[in-house]
Amino acid sequence: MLNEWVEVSLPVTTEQEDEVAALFVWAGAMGVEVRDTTTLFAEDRGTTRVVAYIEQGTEKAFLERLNPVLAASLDQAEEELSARFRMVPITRQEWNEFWKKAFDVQRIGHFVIRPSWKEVVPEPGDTVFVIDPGMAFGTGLHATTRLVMEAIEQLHASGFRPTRILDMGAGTGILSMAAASLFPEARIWAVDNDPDAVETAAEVIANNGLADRIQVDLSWSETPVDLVLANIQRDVLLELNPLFQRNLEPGGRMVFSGILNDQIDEIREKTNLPVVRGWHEGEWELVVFEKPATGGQS
Amino acid sequence: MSSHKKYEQQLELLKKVSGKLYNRDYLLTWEQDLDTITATVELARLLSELHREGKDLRVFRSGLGVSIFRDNSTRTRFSYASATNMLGLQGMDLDETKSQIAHGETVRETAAMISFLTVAIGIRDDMYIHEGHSYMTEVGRALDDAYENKVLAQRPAVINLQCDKDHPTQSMADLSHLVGMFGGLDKLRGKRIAMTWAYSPSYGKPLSVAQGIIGLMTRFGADVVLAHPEGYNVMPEVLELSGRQAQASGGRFSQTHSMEEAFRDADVVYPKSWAPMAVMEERTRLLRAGENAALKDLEKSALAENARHKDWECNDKMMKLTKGGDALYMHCLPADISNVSCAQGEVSADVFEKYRLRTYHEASYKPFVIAAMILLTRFERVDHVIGHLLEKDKSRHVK
Ligand SMILES: C[S@@+](CC[C@H](N)C(=O)[O-])C[C@H]1O[C@@H](n2cnc3c(N)ncnc32)[C@H](O)[C@@H]1O
Repeated sequence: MLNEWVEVSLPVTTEQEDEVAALFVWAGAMGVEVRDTTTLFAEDRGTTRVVAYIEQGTEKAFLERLNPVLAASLDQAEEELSARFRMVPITRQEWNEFWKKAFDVQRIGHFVIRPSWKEVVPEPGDTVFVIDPGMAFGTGLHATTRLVMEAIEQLHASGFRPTRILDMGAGTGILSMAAASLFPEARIWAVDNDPDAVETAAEVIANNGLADRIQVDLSWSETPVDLVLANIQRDVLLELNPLFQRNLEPGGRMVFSGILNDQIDEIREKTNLPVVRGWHEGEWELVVFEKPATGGQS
Repeated sequence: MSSHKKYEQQLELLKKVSGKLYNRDYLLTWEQDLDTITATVELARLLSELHREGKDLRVFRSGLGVSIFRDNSTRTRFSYASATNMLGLQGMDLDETKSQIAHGETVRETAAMISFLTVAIGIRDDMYIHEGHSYMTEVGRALDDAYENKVLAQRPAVINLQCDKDHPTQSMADLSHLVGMFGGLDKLRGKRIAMTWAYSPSYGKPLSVAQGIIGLMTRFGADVVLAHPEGYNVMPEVLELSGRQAQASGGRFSQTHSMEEAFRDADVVYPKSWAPMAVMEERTRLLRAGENAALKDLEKSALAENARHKDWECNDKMMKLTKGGDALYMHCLPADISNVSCAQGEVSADVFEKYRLRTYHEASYKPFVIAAMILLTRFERVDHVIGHLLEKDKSRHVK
C-alpha cells in the first residue's frame, strides 16, 4: 500500500533557504520545495518557506535527525526551532491530484501546454507549447498566468492587434509565446530581472521555435509599445507603472496580473488609466488598462 | 393630483428624447444613449401603471404590428401581440421559415411588401450567430429605401425581439424590474449584479440574454460580474463595450470562472445557461449546410461538456453567499428547475419557488417595453402622445 504524506515546513530568510533545503534532503525528505509569493503554493509577501515531503509515520525520525544539525547550522536553540515547524498531513489523493496537475497537460482557452515527455493530440485551433514544470514561473498552472493567457485571447478576439509587445517579468516566457502565436506581426520583448528566468525563457522560447520572434533579456531599453503584459506582484507593478505608461502608445493596452483582491482598488487608482477589462479567479485579479487614443490623462 | 402632475418627471424625460428615435429602429441597447434608455424604462413602467389603472392605451386607430419569428417562442409572441394590441395595432405573423433565402433582394422586396400599412415589425432571429443582427439592419435599410422613395407612406420601426447579439426587450424588462425592486435607476450604483452561466440539460441556448444583461447593466455604475466555465465565451465585442461602459459610468465589469465568486456579496443574481460562442458558430454552419448527422454529434458533445458543469446550479448554498443571503434572483424564463422541469438544471426548486412570483413580475414588463419602443420610434413627440392619453381619461373597459 502506498503511504500518505506529511508536509513539514519552516519559514526561512532567503539566505537560509538553500542550506535548509539541503538539510531537509539529507534528513530524509522525499521531496523539497521552496515557496514564496511567486510559487504555485504561494506564501504571504515577505515569507519564504522550505517544505519537505515525508512519509507519514516517519516524522519523528526525520525531526530527530534534522533538528540538532539544523539548529547548529542556523545558530538557533533546538526548542525554539522545533516550535516554528509546521506539519500538515496530506492524503494520497490530494498529493496525486496535485502532482497529476503539475505534470499534466494544461489547457487554457486554445493554448495547450505540455511537458516534453507528454504527447497531445491538438484539437483544431489549438496552439501547443512545450514547457517543463519547475524551470521558472509560468507553466500555466498558476491562476495569475491563466488569467493573462485568457486576456490575450480576448484582446485578440476583440480585434486588438498590437505590433510591439513588452512582456515584463517573463518567467518561462509563456505570455510572450502566447502573444507571438496570436499576433504574428508583432515584435516582442520578454524581460526578467532574474538571470535564471532569462536563461530558462531563452531555452523554452527556442525550443518552441519562437526565438526569431521574441527577444529575451535581463533589461529593456525603452521603446514605444502598444501592449504591456505584466504578471508581477503589486509593489513591482506600481514601481514599473511610470515606465510602462511612458512607453505605451495612445490606444495601447496594459495587462496587469498578480494582484490580490484587496490590492485591486489601489492599483486601479494609482494607475489612473481607463479600465477596459477585469478578471478574477479566487484571490487573484487581472485588469486591462487602455491609454486613451487622443488627449492625455488628467 | 392630476395625472399630468403625477407623471411630470416622465413627461419631461420623454420631451428630452423626443424625435431621437423617430423613424428609426430599436435594435441594440448599446446603440442608444443613456437618456433614451432611461426614457424607455420610464415609459414602460408608466404604461404598465396606466394599464393597471384600466386606461385605454390605443394610440393607433389602424395599422399592422407584424412579427417575424425565425424560431419558436410562444412567450415573446404573446408579449409582442399584447403590446401591439394594447396600442391599437392589428397583429400579423409572417411565417419566415417558409421563405428559404432571406437575404439580399428577397429581404428588400419582402420588407416593402409587408409594410404598406405597417407600424412596427418585431423580429426574433437568434438561431444563427453573426446573422440575426445583420438581418435586422438589412430589413431596416430596405425600409429606409422604400420610405425615401415614397413606396411607403410611413417608416415602420424594426423592433429587436432577440437577435444573436442582444435581447433588448428582455434586458429592458429586467431593468424595469430592478428599478421597481430598488427604487430607481440611480439606486443601481454600486450594486453587484452577477450574470452567471448555469447548467442546463439542453444545448444551443442563445448568448444574447447574457450579452444583453452585461451590455445594459454596465451603464449605471453597478459592479457587474460575468461568470461562466472556461470555454463558454460570449461575443468579444460585447465584453469590450461592457468594460468601456462600466468605466464610463463609474462602475465595474469583471469576469470570472467561478459561480461562487460571482455570487459572493451579490445584490442581484441572474443564473442562466447559454452555449459557448464556438458551439453556436459550428451549429450555425451545420444548420446552413443541412448536415444533420454532424449536428447530432455536435449536440452530443455539447451536452457532454455541459454535464461537466452540473455544479453550476443556483441553489440554497449558492444563495447563502450573496449579500445577506438574500440577493434578488432573476431569470428570463422559462428556467430549467431541478426536479421540476428537468432532473438537474439552472436553479433548485426551493430557490426558484421563493422568487417565482418576482420572476413573473419581471416578465410582466415585457409587453410594455415593446410598446414603449414602438412609441419612441413611431412618434416624434411621445411626450405629447402620453400627455394626450393622460388627459383623455378613458377607460378601456365598458362601464
Ligand atoms: C509571477 S512571475 C510571472 C511569470 C510569467 N510571466 C507568467 O505570467 O507566468 C513574475 C516574474 O517577474 C520577475 N520580476 C520580478 N520583479 C521584476 C522586475 N522588477 N523587473 C523584471 N522582472 C521582475 C520575476 O523574476 C518572475 O519571473
